[in-house]
Amino acid sequence: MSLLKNISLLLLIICLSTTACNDDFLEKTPTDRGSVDGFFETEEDVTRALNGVYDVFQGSIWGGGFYWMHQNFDILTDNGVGCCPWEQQYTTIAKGEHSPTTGGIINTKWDFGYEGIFRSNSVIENVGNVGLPADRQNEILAEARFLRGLIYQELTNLFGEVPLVLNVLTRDEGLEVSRASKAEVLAAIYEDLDFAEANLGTSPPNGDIGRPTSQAAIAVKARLRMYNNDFSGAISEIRKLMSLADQGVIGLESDYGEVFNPENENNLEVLFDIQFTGGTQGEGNFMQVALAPGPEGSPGNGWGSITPLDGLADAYKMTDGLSINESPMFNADDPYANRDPRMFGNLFVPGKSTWRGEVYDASLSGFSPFFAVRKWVDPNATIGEDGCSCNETNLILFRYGDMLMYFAEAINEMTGPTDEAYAAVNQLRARAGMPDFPAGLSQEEFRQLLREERHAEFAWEGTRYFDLIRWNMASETVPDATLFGELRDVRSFQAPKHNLWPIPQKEIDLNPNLTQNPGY
Amino acid sequence: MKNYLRWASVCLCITFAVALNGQRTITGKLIDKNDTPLIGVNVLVKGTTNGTITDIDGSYSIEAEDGDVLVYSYTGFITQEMAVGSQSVIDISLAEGSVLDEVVVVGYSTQKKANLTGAVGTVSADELAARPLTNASQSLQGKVSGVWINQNSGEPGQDGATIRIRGIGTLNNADPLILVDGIEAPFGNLDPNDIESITVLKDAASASIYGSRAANGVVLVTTKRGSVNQKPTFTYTGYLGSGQVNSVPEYIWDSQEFMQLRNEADINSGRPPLYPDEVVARFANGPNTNWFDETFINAPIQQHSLSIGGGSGSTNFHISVGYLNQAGVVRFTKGTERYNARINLDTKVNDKFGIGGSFYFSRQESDLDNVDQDGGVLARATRLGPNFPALDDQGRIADRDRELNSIELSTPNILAEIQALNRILDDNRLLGSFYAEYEPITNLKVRGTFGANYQTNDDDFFNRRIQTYDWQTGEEGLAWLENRAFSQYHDERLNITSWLQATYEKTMDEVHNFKFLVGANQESSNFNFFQAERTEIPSNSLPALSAGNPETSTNNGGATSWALRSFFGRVNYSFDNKYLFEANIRRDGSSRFGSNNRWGTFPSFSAGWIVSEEEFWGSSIVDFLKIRASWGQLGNQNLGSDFPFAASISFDPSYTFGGTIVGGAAQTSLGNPDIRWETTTQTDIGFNLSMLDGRLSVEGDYFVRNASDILFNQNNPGVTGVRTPTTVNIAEVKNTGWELYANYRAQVGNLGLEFGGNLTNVVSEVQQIDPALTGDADRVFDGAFIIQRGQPINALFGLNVLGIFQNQAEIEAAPDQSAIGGGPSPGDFQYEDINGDGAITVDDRIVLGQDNPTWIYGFNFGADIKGFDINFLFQGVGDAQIFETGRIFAPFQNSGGVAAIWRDRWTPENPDATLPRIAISQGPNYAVNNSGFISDRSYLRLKNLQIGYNLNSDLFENNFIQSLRVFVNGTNLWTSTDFVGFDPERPPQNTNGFSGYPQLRLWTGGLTLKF
Repeated sequence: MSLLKNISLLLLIICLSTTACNDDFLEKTPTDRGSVDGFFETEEDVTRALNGVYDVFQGSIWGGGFYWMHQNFDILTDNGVGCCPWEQQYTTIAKGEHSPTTGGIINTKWDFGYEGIFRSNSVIENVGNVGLPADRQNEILAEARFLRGLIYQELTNLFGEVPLVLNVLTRDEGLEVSRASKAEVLAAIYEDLDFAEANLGTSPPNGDIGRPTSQAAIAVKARLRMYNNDFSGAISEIRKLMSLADQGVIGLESDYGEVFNPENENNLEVLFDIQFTGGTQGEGNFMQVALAPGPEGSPGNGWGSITPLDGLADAYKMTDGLSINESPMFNADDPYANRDPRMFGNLFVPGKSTWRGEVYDASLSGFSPFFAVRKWVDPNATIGEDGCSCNETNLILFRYGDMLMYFAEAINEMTGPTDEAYAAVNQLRARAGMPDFPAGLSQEEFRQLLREERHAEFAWEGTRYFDLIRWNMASETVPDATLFGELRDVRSFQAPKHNLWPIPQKEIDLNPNLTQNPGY
Repeated sequence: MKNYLRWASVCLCITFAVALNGQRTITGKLIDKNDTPLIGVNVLVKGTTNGTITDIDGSYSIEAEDGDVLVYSYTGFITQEMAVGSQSVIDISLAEGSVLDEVVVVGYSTQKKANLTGAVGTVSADELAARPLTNASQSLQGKVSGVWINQNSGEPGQDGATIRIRGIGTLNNADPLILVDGIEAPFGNLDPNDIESITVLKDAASASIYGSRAANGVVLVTTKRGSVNQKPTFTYTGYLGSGQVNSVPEYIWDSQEFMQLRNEADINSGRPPLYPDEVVARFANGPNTNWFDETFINAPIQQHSLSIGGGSGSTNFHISVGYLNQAGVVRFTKGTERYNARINLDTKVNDKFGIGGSFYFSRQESDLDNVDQDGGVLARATRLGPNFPALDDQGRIADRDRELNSIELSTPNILAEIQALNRILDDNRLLGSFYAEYEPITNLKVRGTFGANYQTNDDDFFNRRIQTYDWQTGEEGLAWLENRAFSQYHDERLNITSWLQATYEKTMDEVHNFKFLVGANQESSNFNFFQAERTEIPSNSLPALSAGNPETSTNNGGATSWALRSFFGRVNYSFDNKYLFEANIRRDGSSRFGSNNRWGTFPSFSAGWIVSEEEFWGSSIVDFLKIRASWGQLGNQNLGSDFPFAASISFDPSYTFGGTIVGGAAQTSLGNPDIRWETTTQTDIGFNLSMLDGRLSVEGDYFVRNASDILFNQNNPGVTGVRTPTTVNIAEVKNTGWELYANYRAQVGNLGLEFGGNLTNVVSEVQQIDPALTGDADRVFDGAFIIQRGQPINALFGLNVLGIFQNQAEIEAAPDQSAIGGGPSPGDFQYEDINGDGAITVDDRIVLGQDNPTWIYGFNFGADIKGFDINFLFQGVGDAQIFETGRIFAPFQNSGGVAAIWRDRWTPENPDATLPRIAISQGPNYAVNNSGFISDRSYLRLKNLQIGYNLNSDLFENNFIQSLRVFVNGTNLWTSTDFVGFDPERPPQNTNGFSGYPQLRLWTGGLTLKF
């Protein structure tokens, strides 16, 4: 039939006219984004992917980073309270009102943590496919495994048992994971960090300041061991650091304030930090604008968003080593005279501190009624003019001073205060300009003083919350949110429930294999 | 000249008469039933290309032989044939055709309306003539059942309409496919004067030939073409007029009343009153500035269009040029200007081969305000109190006096803001297409078309610095904006379409009629953009990047593309013109889907039964009745992203090592290689009825439209490490509805009357979003909207207000309301405890309304007598609500103004008030979405009124002018609504605030001249 013949002819013409009847015409891929298939081809691709892991640490002013506003962990303690809605996600936890659906920093830690883990896994899985020399490949693997271990360390501190994801998952696989036991999680972290320690040098890969070193890997392990009461393990890790200190690879800064001075970044004491650069959206931190005193609006000034509390102010003893209640040096008319000098490294104190060339007074404290946070604030900052009110101060996560203190604590817990323990803590005391710990302390006395010492030394570094939990002190300490005796916030910490955060409900909704932490 | 031509043609006639023995000249006159001469009727010798058209007197003259058949055809009239016998004069009275005789454009073809088996709506050029449609997408409004047209804004240059056919059947882009002469192209920039007809393909049977793009319906726009053997006719249409926004809500513009009310609100909000008594006293004499009056002006509009249409024996053409100029209705904006030109050309190379093409160019330049804070210029105007004037004594932009400035938030004078924030849009469109048609054997036509649609858009923002002056002292006040900035955006899009189709038609044994269509089509689209910005521009007169500080440069750019390849076919079979069947199939491959599910097939079937053709049909009243049914499947591939399947790497992640920023990369989407079409299955049952000798026609349809596999973003489990949600085929939405259309024409003596109306009811229901969730838990929030299983799409969600608490005793007796803003005081809303747990919480929220109208209707009325005619077009929607929380229900928000409805607020002295006690912004107890602040946006509007007069052709003795019509048009003249905001005809909005302008009330007058 001629009709059929004509139709076949037509189809033939159609075929010929439409670029030879193949599907290439319909193959379109994004031209302004990369395609995952075939992305890893060169060392540069791997390096970029590795750099992409670090990106999860930063975030913007409103959130979006694994270590977002890390100093706010101290407003979960007796150190301070947040003023305002932007701290609400922390304040809810401080009040003990957090639940699986609270979201905020709880979801941020989970989501950005696993984002970093996924990005690390992606590097770990692909680094072998681009033909690198074995040592370079191992170095990249070590860096990626350090980052994965670091993130898991933070996740397990917060959530306890977490899904152990050590390779790239599909969405379907992600919908079925379950939580690994604490032992499995710890073992995996130590394995990652041991590998990192063994394959990283004492100076960072490529000389890039901010990439991890073997001492950084040791430090992360040491903290994790402390948090899990593995004191002998912690001691042997820290001994390795002490020997590096003996070699001058790391060490203590001679002045407490210099550790945090933006002009003196990447100093000997820093074992690992989050690096920032000012003035560029996405690369700067927002500690300055949140913490610095006002008046708001001038470049480099901030909101005084955190109200420091009595708990922290009182942690700064008199220069005779006695507390303000005990020391004859204390003068109620001049209460901030003759105090532990670290007070002024951590707090803007009215009448004593200097801000913008003038004596700081409470009217400059922003939202805070009296003190303002001094640590992380750059007195010379002029940021805020060019669209990103962010600055360049790095956030130090691990420093040698912390390790010395862990060392003293671990020894005391195992054997009572030995000379080594005294020596370690007295290095920090001397640096701070405070007298040595009195000799002849009992284990309990040493423990008590050491805890007070940690309080004074590590304000606004995000560790006190975890310290209070591991010392079983959170229930009594967290509700103590007073300034000049006046309660600033009604808080609650129920142990053991609040020792861990809840697993985000949105994850359990998607994946029934995930269990919830007790009490939530 | 004219006489010469006439003589020449007479000579030619004689020559032909001599040369071809038996040929002779037939003359005659064509009239309608009122004996009015019909101008431009086509007269053709059947089976030849020999034809002519009637002149100004309705007369014609044509060469024909004995035995020839003359065919007389004229739009809107029944085509008549007359055999040539011995007579030399054939006068014909043409009968007006029933609408069923119309031929309508359908997918890749045309079809007689009587033989349609699908649901199709049409609008013809006559219905659009001379209306001041500034954007062609407005043209369907109120005209076609089942179609909701919502003009988004009255702002000149931003006045396109959203088109929704038979509800919203997706959670993604619900725009229909729009084809201009078969090629996908936007509708807005067409010159309405170029449009010959618009067809809306509503059901699956008529739309499925467009397969993967047809789920939201298809709009086919056909432009005017010339006719062969038609004397070139020039048509000029032009109008002039002026417009202003049709309504603004009443605000309190009395300075003292404003300040006193503010103080009351402050007290109710637990704050000290803002205005000290002495300040209030100072404003006893105003200035009482009405900021709407200061912002909006009357703006002129004009439009001119000139076209020439005609054709010789083998070639026809239609050429047109148009110009639109609509001044800005907001002070200091220039409004919009559009230039357009079109050439449509067709020629027969020989009996079997024809070629043709179309070429269209348009450029639109718009100078707009770029006030976008708080949702736009209107919302910003409501942020000002009436207590300072717009301009000072010297005509400069005024600022508050210094004392007031220290009290109020320094929201700038809206006039400063409008001048400071300037936006210029340029839009260029170039549409070209070419076709060739070949008929290798009789009734088999093969047609190939190639078309390109190229557009560029520029979007420039200029932030200028405007100084304001204290209106009392003349001192410099606020300078807005301090830092001048200029941002330039450019994009470019090229769509290429090529398609080939063949049609074959055959009638067997006189009763079996077959039509076949097969074809293939492919399209590709490429888009790219770039954008750059600099700040620190030194002067208000330098809108140029080069003038800015290079160190402040930022830039951005991107590109995307897609491609589509399709094969399609259709079979029509009709038996004895009584039983009609149609089947369509389309197979589409789209680049938007991964190779796992790249191809989809979309079938449809429909049937019709013309009952009135049956022998048993004895009705003399009903002269035509057709019952039809259809079923089919359609797809939606318009998903917001061109690569929803792709897992992609982002190069945004970066980090800094020791102060040096390093580039990073990370996979930021998982992609979904299994992603596939959204599929809409639609079933339709309908009828067409014509009665009273065709004077009344009625059309009705019932439809069920089920969309499944709707793509929706699902969160990934956190452990995958990719936070961007993954798009999966998951949701289902059902739309059920019916639509009715009726038209009645009558002639009473000299008086012609026409009534028409259409009514649509559509109810949508979200069937599921995530099958893993159950009941009400299966829901997502989208701003103020909620999409929840079992509820209409874009529903409004909040607490239900029972009334206003009169006293503390009532508060204590009621369920605990303390969770809402710290607890109520007398004068606050009392909310309903839906779940009966004794306390008002977020769990007591219910669906309170829906954004999409359930009812859509339009009706028109026309009358003509002795050359005069009048036409009314009304249009409206029913059962649609919105949270008007933007400003109206948020008095004094950000130190802003207060709507006059707050005069009826609760006070102890006014316990029966409609509104609660006044408080700053949304008072503590009503800063939640609640039924008290839902506003019904149903409306009925006189969309257009046209009065015209056709001058009698006898007046033009020179034979130069064929016809002249003068007309006056009024648009948006009258609205009936309970809506409290600016304009009930507004785009769906899931956030607070109002971003568009109210629709314009336009008065225009003009003329249409043919010569």
